[in-house]
Amino acid sequence: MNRDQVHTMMTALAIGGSIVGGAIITQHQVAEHTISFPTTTPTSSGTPSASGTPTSSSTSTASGPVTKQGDMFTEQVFGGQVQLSVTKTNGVISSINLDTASATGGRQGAFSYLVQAAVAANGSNFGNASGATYTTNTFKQALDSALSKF
Amino acid sequence: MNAKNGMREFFHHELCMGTAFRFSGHTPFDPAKTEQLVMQACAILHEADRTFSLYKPESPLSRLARGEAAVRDLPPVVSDIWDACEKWEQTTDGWFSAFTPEHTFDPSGIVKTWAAQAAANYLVGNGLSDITVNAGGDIWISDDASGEADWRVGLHKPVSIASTEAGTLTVVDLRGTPFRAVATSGSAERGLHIWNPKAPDRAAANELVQVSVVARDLVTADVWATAAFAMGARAIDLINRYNETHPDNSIEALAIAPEGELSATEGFSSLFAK
Repeated sequence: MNRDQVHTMMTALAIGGSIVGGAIITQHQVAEHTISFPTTTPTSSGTPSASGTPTSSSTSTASGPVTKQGDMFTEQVFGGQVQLSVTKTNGVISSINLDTASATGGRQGAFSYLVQAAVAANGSNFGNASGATYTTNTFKQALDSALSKF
Repeated sequence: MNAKNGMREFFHHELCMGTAFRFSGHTPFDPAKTEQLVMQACAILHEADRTFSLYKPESPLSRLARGEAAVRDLPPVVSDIWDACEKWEQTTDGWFSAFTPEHTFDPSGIVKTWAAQAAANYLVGNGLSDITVNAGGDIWISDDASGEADWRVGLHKPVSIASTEAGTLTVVDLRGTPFRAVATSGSAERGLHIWNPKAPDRAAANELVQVSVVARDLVTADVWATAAFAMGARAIDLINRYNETHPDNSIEALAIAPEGELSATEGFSSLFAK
C-alpha cells in the first residue's frame, strides 16, 4: 500500500465584500478510501478514439476501503462560510465537495459567487449527467454499483 | 407502461466506441417496433465506429492512416468529416485539431457526438419524442423534451464515475435557453488524453482537470469542450471573447482547475438550476 498524500483545500466565501487575509493551516486528516488512477498517454486531440482506448489500461480501480493518513492543507482565502474542499490522491483530484453549511448572502467576488451558485444548483433533480467520456468498464462498474446516474 | 397521451417511455444503453450511449424518450409504437427503431439508430453508431476507428486495422480511416487510400477513394462520409474537422479547426482558432502529433488524421474528437446526433435525429425523424441522449457523458436534449428533469443536466465531479466519490458538482437547466447540449472534457476517466495543438511538442494539456461546455448542438459542445481543455487556463477568456463576436453561436463553459477553483464564462451563471 502506498502512502498517498491527501490534500484538502478549503476556500471560503467572501461575505459583504470583506476579504480576510489568507492563512495556511496544516493538520492531519484520515481519508477512508483511496483510488488509484493509472495514467494514460495522450492518444487523441479529441475525446476518446472512435473505437475506444483499451479499457483495461484506463480504468480507475477502487482499491476498497483503505484508511490513509495524509496532510490536510486548509487555505482560508476569504472570510465566510461556503467551502470548496478538494482531496487529491497521487496528485489527481479524488474528491471535490462544495459545502453549503451556512452560506449567507451579501456581495461576493466573482469566484465566490460562482461557487455559491454552483452549490445552490446542486440539489436539483436532473435527467442526465455530463462528465469526461467514461470507458465501457467504468460505465459497467458504475452501473453495477449504482454509484452514478445516467 | 408509463403512458403519456398513449406514449410509452423507453430507454436503451448501447456500448460502442469504447463507451456507453443512452437514448431515452417516449414512443407511440409497441415495444417491438420501438426496439427496431432504436437498433437502427444504434446501427448508425456502429457504422461510424467501423468507418472511423483507428483501432480497427481494416477501417477506412486506418487505410487512410497507412497511406493505402486517399480520402477520395473512401466513403463520402470520410470527406464530410474531414471538411467538418477543418471547419472546427478554423472556428476554434486552431485549438481543436484532428491531426495527431504524428500527423495522422484522427477525427475521433467529433465522431462520437456526430454519430450520436445522427442517431438521435433518426429517432426524432421516425416519430419518437422527448429524446435525450447521453453519449458517453455528453448530453443532448430534443426541442420537444417535456420533462422538467430532462432539461436539467448534472455536471460530474472531476472524478471517475466508478469512484466511490462519484457524484455531481452542480446542475444546469437549459429550459428557455437556445442550448440543447452539454459536453465535458476531463482527465478523470482517461487521464491526460487531449494534447495541446499549439504546444511546440503538442504536449498533453494539463492546466485544467475538467471543462463542461453548453452549446446549441452536441458536436459544437463536444468540439469546444475539447478545445477548451487544450486552451487550459486561458479557456474562459478566449470563449468570452469568441462569444462577443459570435452572439448567435455563443457557448458557455465551466472550468475546474487542478486545485479545484471554478471559473466560468460570463453567461454561465444564468444556467444554474434553480
